[in-house]
Amino acid sequence: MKHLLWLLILMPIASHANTFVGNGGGAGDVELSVTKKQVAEAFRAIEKRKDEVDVEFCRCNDTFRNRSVCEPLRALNEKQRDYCSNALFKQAPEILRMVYNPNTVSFRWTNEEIRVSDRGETRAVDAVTNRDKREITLNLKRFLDLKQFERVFLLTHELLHLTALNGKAMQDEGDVGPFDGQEGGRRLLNAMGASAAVLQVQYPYEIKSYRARLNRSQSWKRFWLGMNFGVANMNDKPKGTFASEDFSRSQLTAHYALGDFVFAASYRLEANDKKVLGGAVKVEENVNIYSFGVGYRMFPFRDPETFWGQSHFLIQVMADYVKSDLKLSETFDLKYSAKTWGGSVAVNYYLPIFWGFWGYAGLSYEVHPYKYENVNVNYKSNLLSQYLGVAYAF
Amino acid sequence: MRSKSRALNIFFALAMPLLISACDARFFAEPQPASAIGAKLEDMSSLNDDAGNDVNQIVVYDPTVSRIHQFNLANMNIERSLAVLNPGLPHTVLYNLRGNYIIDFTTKHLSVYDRAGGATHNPIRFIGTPVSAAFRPSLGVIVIYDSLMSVGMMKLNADGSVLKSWKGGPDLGNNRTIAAGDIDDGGRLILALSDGSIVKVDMDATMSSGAWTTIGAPINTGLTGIEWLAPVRGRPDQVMIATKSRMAVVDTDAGSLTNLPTSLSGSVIWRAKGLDAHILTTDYTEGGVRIYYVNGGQVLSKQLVRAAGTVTHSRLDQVANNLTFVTANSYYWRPNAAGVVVLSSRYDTEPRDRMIRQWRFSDLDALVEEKVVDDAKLALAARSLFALKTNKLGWALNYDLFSGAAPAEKRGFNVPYIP
Repeated sequence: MKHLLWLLILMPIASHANTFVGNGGGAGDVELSVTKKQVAEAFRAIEKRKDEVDVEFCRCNDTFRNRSVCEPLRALNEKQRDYCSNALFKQAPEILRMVYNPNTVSFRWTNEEIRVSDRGETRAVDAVTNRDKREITLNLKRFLDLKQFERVFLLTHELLHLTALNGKAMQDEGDVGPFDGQEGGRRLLNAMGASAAVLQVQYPYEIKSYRARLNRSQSWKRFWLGMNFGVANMNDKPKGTFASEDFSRSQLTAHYALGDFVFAASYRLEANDKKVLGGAVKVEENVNIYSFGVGYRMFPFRDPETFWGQSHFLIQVMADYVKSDLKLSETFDLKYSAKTWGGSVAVNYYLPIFWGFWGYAGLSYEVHPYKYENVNVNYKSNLLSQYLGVAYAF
Repeated sequence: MRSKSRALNIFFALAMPLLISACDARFFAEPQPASAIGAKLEDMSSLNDDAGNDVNQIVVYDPTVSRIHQFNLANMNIERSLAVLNPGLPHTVLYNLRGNYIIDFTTKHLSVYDRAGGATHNPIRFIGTPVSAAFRPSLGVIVIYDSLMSVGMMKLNADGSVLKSWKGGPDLGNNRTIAAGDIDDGGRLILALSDGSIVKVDMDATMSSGAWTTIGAPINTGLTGIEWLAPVRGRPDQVMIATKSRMAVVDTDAGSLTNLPTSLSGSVIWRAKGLDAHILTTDYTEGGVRIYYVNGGQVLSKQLVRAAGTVTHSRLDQVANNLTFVTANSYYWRPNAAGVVVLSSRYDTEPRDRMIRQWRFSDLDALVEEKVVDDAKLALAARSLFALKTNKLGWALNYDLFSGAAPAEKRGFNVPYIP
């Protein structure tokens, strides 16, 4: 666990990392929102037990006993533990006010390293608070890398920097009650943060884990790989003994999301086989389609923390290069091929699953007329496809 | 005799269901239809002309695409492909190499396609079903005989234009009707009549006058029940005739038989015309297959070396000194249309397990013995075998019988024509 300091920052902090933020929320938004909820629930649980005699805070529990989050708590003596508990009771209302009222504190993401000066040394930290601006800046990557209880610890520590205890701003330096020494303030803040972090185990019904929300796939991921399977049907039945009207369809897709804009590429195989001429001749047709194009995502529901809020439409317009192979088999094989360029439009609807996986359903309309030489197969009509697929975003 | 042979065959079919093939060293065959003028109708043209020369083109009717394809056997290219009238009916095709024209007819039409592909339709209209035809490309004459015993004849010029045509009935007067016939090497239509006489018909005069015009007096053969008549190659003054049990040579100029009729031993199992007409008989014993032919004005015969199977094709060429047979196994297991494996009969239209054998005719030295591709219609030449497989997409092969090389092939030629 990183030490957290509230000091002057030697290096400038880059502004918001999520330049291209889509409607599905940006990176870290869900995690921050859940962390705020858990901090609020922890302090509500603390505040609720303010008048209880035998309640014990600022103590580690068995679940976290071997975790580094308990270090600040293991180091406490009895007086410090009592002081810590009282401080939690006293600061609970202010913490709750800040969490529930977004106007009282702002949060900012950065991809740049946050470096602070600490006793003559410069070190990297996960977050820093600007008391004057009432602004907490978080390193996005480091925040996402933390476990959820570590985020609670971090956010509690930073929020407490915006409060005052016994009329004195809560800082990392200096004595605070039985927390004496140059880093007394930090030790108290760490103990309070750790106490909030481990509280979820003691009050699981009051402090929810939000596991589903945290594990749900999120749309802000840049790289998407997918595959889908379905059918493609000609609008008009083609003429010709060897022509096919329906094809099975399988596709591999890749797209890069820049906010709601998407660059896409795919390989699609549309295949059909049948027997004709009284079953004497087998016809196999494989249509290989290489596509590239662009798309746009639309989120019909607003809350990115919800299942439906992460779901979204992706509308794509693609250029298709089509290479088709036709094989006629009857004791021997005859092979024909055709090539053409065409295009397609697709609408997919993505539903989040977990851990980066998505399910989706789609419709596409394809235009690529072509014909073969020396065999009466001439496709003039367009295709309508329906398919289901899975994707992984990272 | 024919009903007896059929009864015997049924006996074999019932009594020996497990008899498969080559263990039985016998020939069986379905005799060529009797009472016919010319030869039975085929949907492939001959690989010889009427002078005995090999023809390097073959014309076939393919029912899959209802077209006539003309193959150049030198390279197996399709020289031309023609759409035809009445595509759903069985077609007969005949070809003239020198004029490069094709005669095509069904039960409902007759067409002549010239070298440029231009067509003359229905110069003759038949009421009955055509059953046989005699075609002399070198003379430009064709005679067609139908199921109602009508006789149609045409004279064509070198490029296939119809110069004259006529259709008449079988009644040549005096209560006589046509029993059999063919065109001799002199270009006359020789008819065997129901009273055992032979008449020579001047086809030019007949077509011009619109009535049967015979040459000279009828020839009394003394034979009754003549059911087969064939020209003698190289002898415009001779024809051979046969009843069910006897065979003779008629000198049509002298007006008499050249010799006493020859009795045919055993049962007639096969008759073929082609270059040198011949008849096969058997007494159904191990060595009992005999070929009857004409040479030097006499009916001669040879006992053939033992071989097995049902004769499906034969070709005797005394000038080139070879005899060629294609035989199929008499009985064999094969799936029927429903996919059930049954014991087939020799009357199957697509025989399998066939062998081609060729002998030097003078001493019956075996020259060729090869397996023949299944499911194919065949045409024989002296040194080659053309096979048109029944594949829907089109597959033709041309085998050189003596080189041992893989056959020349053409595949997929129907594909452009399948809609």
